[in-house]
Amino acid sequence: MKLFVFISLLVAVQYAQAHPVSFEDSVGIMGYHAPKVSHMQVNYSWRHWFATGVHHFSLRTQDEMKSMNLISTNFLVKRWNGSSYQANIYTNLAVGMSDLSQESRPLGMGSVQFDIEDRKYYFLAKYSRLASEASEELTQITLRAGVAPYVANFNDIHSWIIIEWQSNLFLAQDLDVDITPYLRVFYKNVLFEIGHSLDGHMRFNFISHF
Amino acid sequence: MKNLFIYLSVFLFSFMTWADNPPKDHEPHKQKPSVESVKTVNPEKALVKVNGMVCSFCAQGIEKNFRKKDEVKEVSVDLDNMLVTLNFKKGKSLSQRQIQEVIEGAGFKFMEMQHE
Repeated sequence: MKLFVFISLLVAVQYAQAHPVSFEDSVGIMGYHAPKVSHMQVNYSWRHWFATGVHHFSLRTQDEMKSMNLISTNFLVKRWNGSSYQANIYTNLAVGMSDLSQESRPLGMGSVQFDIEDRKYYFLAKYSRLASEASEELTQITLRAGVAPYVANFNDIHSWIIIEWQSNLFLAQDLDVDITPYLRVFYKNVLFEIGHSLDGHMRFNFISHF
Repeated sequence: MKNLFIYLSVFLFSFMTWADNPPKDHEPHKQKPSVESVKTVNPEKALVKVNGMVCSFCAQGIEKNFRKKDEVKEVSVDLDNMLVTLNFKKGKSLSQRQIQEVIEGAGFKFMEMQHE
């Protein structure tokens, strides 16, 4: 049960951090919802390369509700602005408290993310690690590749088809691999994704910044 | 506790490093765009070439922050040509420095601009 809780929370973190830093003086609201887990996050970008955020997770198990609260710092380490592409390296560090065990315990998470996109193609690679005081460690590797079926301009509705491969390793042992196709749609400052993993899990993710 | 200590240490180290070394791509005053085509006498419109502007969701900050400026009457973003067009209010304008700061504050690379 604890393993399920761990993985669910890390999966939730992954999605809501897909856009870890936005433009200077902006607020970002991100949410991830699956049948048993939800994650709400509010970020403030102090600069275009630095944001802080607060997170609330809730997880419904068979007989109880678990929760986790974190504060995070997100950095844009490096950005390449090309004439037809943009590439980024982000890091994220978060600490907080969770009641995944019988009592409330501190918990930490760190991640590194690389992404590159042009107007037609998109690729993301992310490495994350979640650990609690009780030394339970979960490592997650995520790879995403996307293609836009049409190239849209600034005021149009944008659509992307994305395939995601995700590996979860608990205490350095191979655990599982999950593949999820997504449909991503965004217009102006609102983005959402809906996906259905090959093992049957629905996922919904949204981001808005203003 | 050991893991938390490691995470906190990495965070503090990375933050201190960042304070001294923000991304070089976005240092606001190092880029020197071409000024040959810039007219500065009562321009009504500015065309700004911007690199990295491949995603409309990510480029919302450009539009939003230009709209905050009193001098700007209208702003439009063209992803096809990586171009931001600013229409100024009568008798008002923004300097190249101000425009560059908005572009780079949104996380993009100012290349060059032309007043009309």
